[in-house]
Amino acid sequence: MYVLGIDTSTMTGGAAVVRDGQLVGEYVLNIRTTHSERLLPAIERLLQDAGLSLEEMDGLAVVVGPGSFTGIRIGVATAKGFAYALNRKLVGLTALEALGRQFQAFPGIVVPMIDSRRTEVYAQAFLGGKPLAAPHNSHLDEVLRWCRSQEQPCLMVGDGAIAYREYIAAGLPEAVFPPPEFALLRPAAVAALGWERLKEGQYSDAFAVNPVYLRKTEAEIKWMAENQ
Amino acid sequence: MRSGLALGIETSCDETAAAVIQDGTKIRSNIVLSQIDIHRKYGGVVPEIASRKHIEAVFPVINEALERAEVTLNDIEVIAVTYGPGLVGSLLVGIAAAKALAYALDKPLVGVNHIEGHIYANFLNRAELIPPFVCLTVSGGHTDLLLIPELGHYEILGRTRDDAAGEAFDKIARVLGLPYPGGPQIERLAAAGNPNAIAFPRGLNEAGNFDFSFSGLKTAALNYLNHANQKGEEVNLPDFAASFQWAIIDVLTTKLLAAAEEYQVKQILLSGGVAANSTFRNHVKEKAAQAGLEVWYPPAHLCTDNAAMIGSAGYFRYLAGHRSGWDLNALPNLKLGDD
Ligand SMILES: [Zn+2]
Repeated sequence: MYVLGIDTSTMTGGAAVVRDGQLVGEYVLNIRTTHSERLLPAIERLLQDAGLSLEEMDGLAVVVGPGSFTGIRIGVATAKGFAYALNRKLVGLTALEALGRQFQAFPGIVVPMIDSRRTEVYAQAFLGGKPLAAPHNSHLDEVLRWCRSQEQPCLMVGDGAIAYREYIAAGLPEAVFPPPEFALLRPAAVAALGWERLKEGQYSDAFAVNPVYLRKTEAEIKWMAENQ
Repeated sequence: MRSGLALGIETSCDETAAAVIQDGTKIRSNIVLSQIDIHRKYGGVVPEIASRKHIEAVFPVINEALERAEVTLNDIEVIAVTYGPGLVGSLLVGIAAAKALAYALDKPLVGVNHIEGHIYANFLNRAELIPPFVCLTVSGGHTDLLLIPELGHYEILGRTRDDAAGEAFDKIARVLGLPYPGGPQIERLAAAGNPNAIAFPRGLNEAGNFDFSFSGLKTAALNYLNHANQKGEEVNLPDFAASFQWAIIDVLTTKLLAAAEEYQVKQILLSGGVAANSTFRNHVKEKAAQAGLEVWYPPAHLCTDNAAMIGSAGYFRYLAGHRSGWDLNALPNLKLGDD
């Protein structure tokens, strides 16, 4: 079974194909060019080089959040379009759970965090790829406080772990960091987790998969504050 | 695949729209999902909310357009999508959706300028129109006076130097506490008023200047309200709305007819959301008839944003050989003639 995985949730991103959970190919870029300009050319190149066509994909997996709202929508709209046009199964995944899977072999707690600016992060904790709590958007201090209460070592991953590395190391000296070039989400992990979900029958379709923002818009927050 | 069918997709502002067009002119389906009710409580379009709604709505809307047209995606010959101008986050949803469909099914993709789309609304479900035209495109985002010597070619005669005409309507409506969008509200209020009650200024009204300016009018209208407020006088709102509306209509019409005369063109096209204003249409029609000119404008529901116009413009661009690549990006400030 072939699965195409797509991630456009941060500046890093791209696509990967797995066959029965084994990586066939991956295309990742960490550049400023917009996902709108680079995603489809990357997918075309990946499939071409792998000697595959989109029709050969049995399913699709896409990161639905958290991360850049605009970036996420580009990936999700693309995946929905593929799923709709070719009538394929579609799996929506969070970047956090995909990072949890990417580092599932770590003998401790994996703490993926996506930078949401001003030392706030979208974060979640995983043990052996299984979530320990629901994803949330909170100040980094809260995440570090939680980490300090744990007995196991914490592996800090995701773009938040790179952006706030010194801050984290100061607040949690025992924190473990992977080398930065491996600390970010890889499309291969998205495709592989998507393949697992498809196998387990946990999939959806082009209409039902939508972005997960974990945060209301500023306009909604302001309106609620003024009208409650 | 030579079916003559174009799928149009439009998400540049707060309407999620898809349409199937036959041979560039016949509407097979035209689905518009308006978000107006969602944005109204914020007093205008909130870009992030618009983008969030677009991504949820775009495929159900495309699906409905195909079902209503009784065709499948495979029957479509070309996929056309708005790539500017508009809200960047909103545009990107439609563009990504269109690209994915085109790539998955190996169909040609054509990016369409939204303003050009508005012009093509004139060609929908109508006997063939033959250029040259002088065209006025007026909406909340643009006020462009154009010469169209032949299809697909635009000579910009004049543009607004500040606010778009529709924007001026929206801003004043907002000050009056009228719900968004303001244009239709002002028109309703103006119906019972005297358009000559208040002498509002006409911007850039010297002969031979085809540019527009509505900021002076906007300031004058705000000052009028403030003065009355300070003096504790009650404003006759119908008179105020009618005079304000009239100041805009008068300037638009005067310049439009002057352009037709200067460029010796006998046909006038109106397009854009403000072209749905019946006071405006009727006035242009009356003035044009006096000058021996023909006037064309789309029915009101095709003046506002829709995807039928994008399917139409895209189909003609496709026939002219235009194709967009997989790297097509949103251009929020795209101007007519840029592409
Ligand atoms: Zn428009």
